[in-house]
Amino acid sequence: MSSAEGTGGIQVRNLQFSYGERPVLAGVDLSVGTGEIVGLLGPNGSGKSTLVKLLSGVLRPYGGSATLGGRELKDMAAREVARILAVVPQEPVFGFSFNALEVVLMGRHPHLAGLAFESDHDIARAKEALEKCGALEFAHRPVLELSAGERQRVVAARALAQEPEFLLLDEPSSFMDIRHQVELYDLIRSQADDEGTGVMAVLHDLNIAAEYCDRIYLLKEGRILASGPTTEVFTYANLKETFDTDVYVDVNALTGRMLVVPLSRKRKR
Amino acid sequence: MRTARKPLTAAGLLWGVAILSAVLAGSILAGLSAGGGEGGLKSLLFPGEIDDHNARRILLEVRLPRVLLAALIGGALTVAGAVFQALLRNPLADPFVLGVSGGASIGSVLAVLAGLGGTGAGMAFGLDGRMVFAFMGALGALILIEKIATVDGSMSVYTLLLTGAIFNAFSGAMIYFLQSIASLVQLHDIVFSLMGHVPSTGYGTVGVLAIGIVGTVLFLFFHARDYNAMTLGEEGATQLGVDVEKIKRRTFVLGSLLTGLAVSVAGLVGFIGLVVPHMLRLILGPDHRMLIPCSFLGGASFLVLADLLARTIILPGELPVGVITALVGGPFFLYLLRTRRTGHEFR
Amino acid sequence: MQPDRRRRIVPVLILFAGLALACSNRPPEHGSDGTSLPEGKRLAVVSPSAAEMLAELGMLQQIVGIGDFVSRPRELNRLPRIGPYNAPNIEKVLELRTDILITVLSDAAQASNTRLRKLGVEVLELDTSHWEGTRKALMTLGLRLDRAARAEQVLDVLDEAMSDIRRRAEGFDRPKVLFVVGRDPLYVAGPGSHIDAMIRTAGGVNAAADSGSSYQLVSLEAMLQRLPDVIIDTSDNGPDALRGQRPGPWGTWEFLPAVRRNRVFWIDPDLLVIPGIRQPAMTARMGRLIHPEIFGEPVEADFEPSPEQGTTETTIEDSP
Repeated sequence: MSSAEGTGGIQVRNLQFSYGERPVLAGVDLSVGTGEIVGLLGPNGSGKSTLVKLLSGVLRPYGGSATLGGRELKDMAAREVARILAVVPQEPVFGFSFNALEVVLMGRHPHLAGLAFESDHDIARAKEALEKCGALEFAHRPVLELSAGERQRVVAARALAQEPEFLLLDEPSSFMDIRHQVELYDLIRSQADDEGTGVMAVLHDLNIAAEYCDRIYLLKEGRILASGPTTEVFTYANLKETFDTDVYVDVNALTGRMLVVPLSRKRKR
Repeated sequence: MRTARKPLTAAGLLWGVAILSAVLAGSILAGLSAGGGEGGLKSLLFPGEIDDHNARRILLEVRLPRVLLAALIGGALTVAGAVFQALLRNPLADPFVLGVSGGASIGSVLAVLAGLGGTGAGMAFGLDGRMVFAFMGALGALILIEKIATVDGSMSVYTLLLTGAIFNAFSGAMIYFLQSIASLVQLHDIVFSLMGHVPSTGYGTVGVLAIGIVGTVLFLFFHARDYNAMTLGEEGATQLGVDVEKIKRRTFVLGSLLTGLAVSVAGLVGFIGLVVPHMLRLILGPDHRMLIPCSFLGGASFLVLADLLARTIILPGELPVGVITALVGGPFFLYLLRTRRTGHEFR
Repeated sequence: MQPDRRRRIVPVLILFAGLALACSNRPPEHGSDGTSLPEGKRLAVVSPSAAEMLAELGMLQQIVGIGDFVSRPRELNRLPRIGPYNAPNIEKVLELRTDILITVLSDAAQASNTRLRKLGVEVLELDTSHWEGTRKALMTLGLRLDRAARAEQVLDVLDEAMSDIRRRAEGFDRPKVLFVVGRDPLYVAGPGSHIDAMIRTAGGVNAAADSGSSYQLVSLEAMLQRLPDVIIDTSDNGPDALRGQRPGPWGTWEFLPAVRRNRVFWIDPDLLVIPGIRQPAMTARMGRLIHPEIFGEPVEADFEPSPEQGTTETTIEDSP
């Protein structure tokens, strides 16, 4: 496990961004190294999705610094970014009757020149990715006819087909049942372990985060409140401050990982 | 059950283009075979057998340029429709429905008012002030429509249609206004220029349009894979490495150029950009590497045949070809609106 | 897209175009006979042809207001304007204390006509779109305005002029005439138009006699194939409009008899396409274009309205 010091990976220093007058990120420091899964947690509107969009080149410009493999992001063309970094968005968008395989093949876009057609190699990679995500069975169905959960698996497969060094996940499992969630995160885990892919995942589910993440950043109102290994970050005080909600924190006796249970406000005495 | 569609290959593209080229060739032959004059095609194919100098000249100087012009205009409007649809992820985004043609028509009318519109004689030079003005009108309209219809970064189908309808009403009113300040002689030109009619011009105009339109279509074709990615939304496309702003800018400019060229020459010919790409997507799939070249060929065939009807069904009279395309396209538009909606998404 | 409406607009446009040209040539004139009105009905006239008829009937003194498109006789131009034929300014009509509004028969004007009638203004609708209608309109005006005898007298002269033209053209071959209203796209005068009637009276055949309506978008190919002997083109109306006897753009088609024999005429539409009591004069002009061997070669005034050719162009002298 890399601690992601130095210039490699994703390095974010004092990153600032605002929509018009409204500041969204007010000086964020963060890093993602190869082979690690970093969780980004925080309440709605804390700036998580903005951070994903900044790191994937959708939003610019920004204040501070954000580097990808040692190069400043704002100096990189979208195509260069897409060759090393793939995103699984929160709400994927589709149009027309492209089928799942064709959508996954679009993941090869940054690797193909001009009008080039996908080679057999590209198609093999796409099918492999579909299979990994459990989506091969609907490879030939139009994406718009798939359920939300199925679509998210297709999008995950597209991100894998992009063969990225870094993967940004923006709540990718919001429409998935528990089985597919576990399958997806197991896949991400092995992607990190076997391929050395660095992963930053925006997550809502604290227990999923506890189970899969090597390190956690807690984000609130555009600032990092706490960061470090899950065991250090997931304290009652940190979580209470971040989410303004009482939680019960314990260690999962089975896995040794943190266990977080929300407490109803009505229960509070 | 749906049959599995294989990913597009270069060979598949060649086949598609070859088949649609054959369709276009057939349409052009059909277009040349009938018209107000008699014996046309025969006089060309068997010049020795039928010694009919006049029929031959009518064929070569009236019918052929008109058929070629219909092909170019049909192709231009269809490709404009196809790329607007990719950009807006909406199959209803036809230049006419969007109001872009309306903007072009305002430009065209302004050119006439400014004394830059060629009448029959002016058209002989090929280039015409109306082309430039219509292009600017189309571009202005498109930018305005996009700005108005975009709410929080996305464009709902209904906002878009509504904006287009309102803009069309606006440009209609604008044209009435311009007509009312026009000199009566210009008024005459304006009414004719907006009618939706493929003229029979000299080869100079055909040449200028061929270069402009085919060049633009080829340029757009080289962005075909970017358009595929654009169907994943602007964010999704950026994350796949597409320079979205550049593609948008180019599509706006070049789509408006195609629309402006077509409107400046043939007036308002509606709905081709809606009907043809949709039918091609059903048959060939949505991949823009296939769709863009085939839209050009298919749209060209469509307008050549529509113009053939317009030229011949009430001989010796003619119908404006816009009537034929609207009669086909209007109901088709309603059909699409009723059946192709899934939630807030169109396909 | 409303082809029908557009098709109908065309003759109207040409009518207006011609009138506007005519109008621009003549600045308004003031105080020819003072402003006092003789006894009788106060008339407002919206129809250009009716204005010419009123002049023939000696009723000019009683006109108190004119429509936007009325420009002849030029004495009228000093009068207040009361709007276009399809939507006259009702307030203005009332303000002028109009007794009778004389207008053209038009669907578009029905609403305002009804309104005016309710307000006590008599509305006379005249159909002057063809020669029979024009004759009837003249009689209607004569009867209503107590000038029946004068109307009959005028009508006799006009009828005589018309039948004289018809008689003189009889027995000659009938050249095929293409009457061009718009060239790009090609719009021509078809059956039912007064132009078609004039062509026949003057001894010609309309090349587009079988087209669908009185003004029709037609196939250029078909018209070329029919090899017209005479082409009368009224489509060129810019500031540098072609005028006179020359092939112009039609010269491209050197195989056309009209081009070979130099029988292509470029003419101001005002001189041929506006129906009314000038029709005998227009028909005579048509005769000069079609049958110069009968009616004599066309003169300069047949191509462009001359500035002094002001009031009316009829065969009748004004009588007190």
